[in-house]
Amino acid sequence: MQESPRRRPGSRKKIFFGCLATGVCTGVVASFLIDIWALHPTNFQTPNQSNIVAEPDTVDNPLQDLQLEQVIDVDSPTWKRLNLATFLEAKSNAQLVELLEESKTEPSDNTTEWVEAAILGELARKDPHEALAQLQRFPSHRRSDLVFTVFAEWSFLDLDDALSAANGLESKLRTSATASILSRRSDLSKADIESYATAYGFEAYAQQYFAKKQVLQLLDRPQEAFELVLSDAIHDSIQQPMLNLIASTWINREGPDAFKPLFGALLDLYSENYTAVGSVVAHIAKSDPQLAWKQMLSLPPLEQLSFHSTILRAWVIDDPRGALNALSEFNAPRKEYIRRNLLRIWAGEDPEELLDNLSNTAPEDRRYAIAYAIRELTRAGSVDSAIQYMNSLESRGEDTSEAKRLLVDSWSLDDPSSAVTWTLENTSDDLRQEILDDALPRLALVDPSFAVRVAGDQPLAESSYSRFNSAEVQIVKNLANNGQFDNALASLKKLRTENRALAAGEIGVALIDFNRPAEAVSLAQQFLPESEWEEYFGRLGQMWILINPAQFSANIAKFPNPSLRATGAEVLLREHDRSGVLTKEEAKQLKTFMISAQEE
Amino acid sequence: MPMPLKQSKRDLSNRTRNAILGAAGLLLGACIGGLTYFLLVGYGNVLNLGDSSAKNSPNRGAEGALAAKSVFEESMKDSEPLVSFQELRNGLQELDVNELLPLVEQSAAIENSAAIAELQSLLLGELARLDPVEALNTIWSFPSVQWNDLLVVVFGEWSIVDLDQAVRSAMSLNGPARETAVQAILAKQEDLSNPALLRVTSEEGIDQAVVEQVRAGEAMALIDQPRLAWNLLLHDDVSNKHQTELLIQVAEEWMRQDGVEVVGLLYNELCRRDNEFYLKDWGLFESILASAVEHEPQRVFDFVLTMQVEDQQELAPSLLSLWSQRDPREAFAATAKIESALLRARVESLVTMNWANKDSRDLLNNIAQLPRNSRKSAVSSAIGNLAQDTPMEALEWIRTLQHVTDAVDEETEHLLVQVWSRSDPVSAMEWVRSNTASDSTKRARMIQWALREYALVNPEKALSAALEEVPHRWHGMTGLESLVIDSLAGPRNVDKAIEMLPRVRESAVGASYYAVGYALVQFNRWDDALALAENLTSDKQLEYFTRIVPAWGPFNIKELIDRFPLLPSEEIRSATARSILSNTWMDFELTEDQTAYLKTFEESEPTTASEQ
Repeated sequence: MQESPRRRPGSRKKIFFGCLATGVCTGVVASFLIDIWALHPTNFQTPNQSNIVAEPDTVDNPLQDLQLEQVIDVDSPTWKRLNLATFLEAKSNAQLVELLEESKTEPSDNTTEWVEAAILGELARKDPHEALAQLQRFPSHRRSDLVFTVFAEWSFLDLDDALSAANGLESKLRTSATASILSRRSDLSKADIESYATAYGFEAYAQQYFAKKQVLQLLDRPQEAFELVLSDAIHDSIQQPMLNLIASTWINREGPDAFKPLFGALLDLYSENYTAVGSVVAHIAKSDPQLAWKQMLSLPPLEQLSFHSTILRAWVIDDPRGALNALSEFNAPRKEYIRRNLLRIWAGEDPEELLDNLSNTAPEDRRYAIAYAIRELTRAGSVDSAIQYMNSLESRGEDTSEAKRLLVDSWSLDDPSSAVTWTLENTSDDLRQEILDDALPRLALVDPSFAVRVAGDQPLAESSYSRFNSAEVQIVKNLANNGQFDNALASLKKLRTENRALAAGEIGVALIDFNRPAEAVSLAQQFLPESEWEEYFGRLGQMWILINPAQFSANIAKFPNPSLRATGAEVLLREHDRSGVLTKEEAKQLKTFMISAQEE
Repeated sequence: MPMPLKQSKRDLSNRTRNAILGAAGLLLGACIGGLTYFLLVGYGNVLNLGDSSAKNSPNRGAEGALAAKSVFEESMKDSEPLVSFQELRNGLQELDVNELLPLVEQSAAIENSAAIAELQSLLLGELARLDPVEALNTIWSFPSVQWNDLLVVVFGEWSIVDLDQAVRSAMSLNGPARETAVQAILAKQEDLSNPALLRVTSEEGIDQAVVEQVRAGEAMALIDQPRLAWNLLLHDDVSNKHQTELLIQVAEEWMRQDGVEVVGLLYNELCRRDNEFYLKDWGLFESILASAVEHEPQRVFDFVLTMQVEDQQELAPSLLSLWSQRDPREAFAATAKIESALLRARVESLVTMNWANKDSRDLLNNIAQLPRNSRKSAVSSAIGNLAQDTPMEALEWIRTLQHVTDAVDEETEHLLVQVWSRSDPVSAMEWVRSNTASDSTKRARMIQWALREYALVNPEKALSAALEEVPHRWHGMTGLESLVIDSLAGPRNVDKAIEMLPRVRESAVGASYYAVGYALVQFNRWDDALALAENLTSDKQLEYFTRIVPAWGPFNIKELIDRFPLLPSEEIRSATARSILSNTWMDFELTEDQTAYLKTFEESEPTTASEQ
């Protein structure tokens, strides 16, 4: 009797664990049965149900009761996609809109954007108008992709409706929608598309689409596809991307063996369109420049010269030392020019890295390497850093004259006053004048008085050629060419006498260019002594013939004296004899000026 | 009694406790059972039944697989989108590698149809999950146009199954495919700082691709503030050339938010021309400009006209060129707003060229409406286009346009003959001979275009025709026959040219031999080039050898130097040596020995190269 209570807990344990075991079995069996019922819905479903789901099928969708996060919580991208599509398929329009609303509270990342696109796609399958309305609520940068999704579905539901809706969209979205419809409805014939294009006003796009489709169909035969693109049948706007695509595909298909025929095809194209050739070579070299280089070396030497610099330019972006080493071992004319070009690209990519690698740069290239790097630092807004680098290099004995020139050249684009002031304080006499000749015309556009003052302090050039290129004349020319005629004329008065006639000629030419002939004619009398009129009108006439010979002819009568009129008429008639720039009446009228001058 | 009662109560209480305990056990057991099933089997089934080991189990229902296959086969027959994802999902759960593979191959054989692209992608994705190597091999049986999309599917899946192997396999592909595969792998990585990813990409030397992906993500996170995103991208540690599409996308968003004025900011930032004419990112800028012009050409153009004239000179030609490719009439009308006559003339010519490319007849119909000084270049562009395929129509247009002031002149006809000769030299030649006076300048000029091309289709007749032409100052000192020989001196016809050399007149001998000799050197027929000179008199030989020196170029000059002893005379050796040594622009890159060797010929009798 006393043992009984001691046994009782053991018996209770037995009962408990017995029941627990039974429960576990029951739980497993029940779950299994539920699972069987849930996972074989097709037994209860009509096959080939319509793709337009009016009401959600919530009965047999195995994912219906899960949360969206659970549905996509699988590693496999395929199953993630399939699960999400299956899950959304069972949702009503209202539920889909609700899901879209919920997604907007999620942080925007790739997954959220991908889910939103899927929801919108499913909504488009059920109610494309609603999907389009929802699309407008997305940020503008995403609409182009999303509109593609919506219209891909819509195109199968009601093509006319889809095209009509696409037609109502703004330009960029309309293009995207039309592209989506045409690419999705590959079953449409050319005639169908043409008639839709006429009805909905996308003829130009349709032509592009046909051309592109034609090439894509030939992509398995890249040589033929290439020839097709080169024939003039292909729309200009898609020619380059198509050539790039064919070249990539060619290499994907045939590996290194593709290069020989590809280079051959490009050589045929070279004389006609070397820009396109360069673009294709840059495109293929981008993914594997070493391979492209190696294959190019197997071409005859002269043919290599059509490709070598383009491959190196693509190579230098990611591997400057590799590209420069390859060039050093290559036998080509004008290697110096190519090498500097590569240094320029390297500087554009990473100026500091280039400066850190100066010790590996050939001595004759160093000052250019420094200059290119300094220019890039300046363009990036780091003028102080550029100057610091430059001073430090100068203190180590490097030649920084070219760097100073490029520093001011770039700096003066944004801040000409500071650039000029720095030049005055930090450059030697000979270098200063050269730099100022370039910088002062820019300064003139923001501070003409300062520019003229500084220019006037520079030594006067001796030859008329040098004087024409001097800062004083170029300041006035730049002001006039930019339409600042008041400033140009004010500056003209402050120039040294020797430069005035040349500068006046440039104002006159600009006045003709800006269709102000009367002012051009009267300028000489207002600003120049009579002894300089002939030179002035000579320059004016030279350009006037090119710009507007008829207007020149009509204005000769206003020239200040018969001799100038006769000279102008003679110059113009000579040009007329050569290329027929005048009407018979105009030519006849001009001859009278020559006769009058002779009579006088 | 108290005891039994107490006992009874205790028994009752024990029974109740036992029952409660049993029920609790049963309930807990059921929960544990259900949960265990759900965790072990059920959850996996609900989300993804594609466990490869289960799929490969021999106990799997053959009927299920058969039914699943038929679902896919039916879907492939359909030209419409997928019927039901749920059905496909159920079907895909049933298929193993052996059943998937033929389905994938079957789908590959179907002519590319966007409607089944989704289905193909699902099948291949599942195959990639189960057997990525097989999936990759299958891609190449699809049309090439689909490869990129399918590589994305396979490598996306593969990177989840086995990242290391996926990366290594991607690296074994050819260049462009490799790039696509690596991008696909990186796009599927939730954590780009994952040490395993960094290790394998570093080992394979593609760590920069990870950096690019990270920077792209950072920029896209800021896309709503495009100015920030732009600055981030432009000044990050990735080349702009690798971020072009992203930069364009950000720029487009920026323009959408702040208007077309952004074009001016971007122009200043990317490619304002300095005195070195250095345009660092012009290509990128032009793409952005093209995007702006595509949607709002008029507004962009109006904005450009508000910029400084020097900036207008850079931008207006590109802008109007892009615009005129779409709508040349509108673009031409817009040129009238340009204040500078010089700039206007430049862009008018660009626009009419694009107009001619788009629709030559439309342009010709509108010539009278163009300003006088634009007409000739417009007509030339259009006639140049028409003459390729319909020269007689082009000729007719020239006659019609004679009545429009400043539309055509003699040069227009010359252009017609020039283009026509390239497409149909026989007809062009016939037309020139029957429509021009035999001693006219017009004939003398036109026949040169026609003869050059005619020589390539009928060399004998071309040479006879050249010899029959009435001499004219436009034929130059060397006559038309040297032109025929020069035209033939290409890789295909150079032997024919050699055969015809004895027929050229004395005045044309020098030029004709030079043309053939130069070509022979270019085609690496060095000994033939030397032998050719044997037919020349000694003074002509001297001219011949010194003139063709540049033909050896930087690469083959060694071949000439090696043959120096074979040159016909001391005088010729000396003159040729001087020509090589002084020809600095050819960049001959001579060795010191070669230079020394050549210098021995400048004045004295040489030793042989081998002795050097």
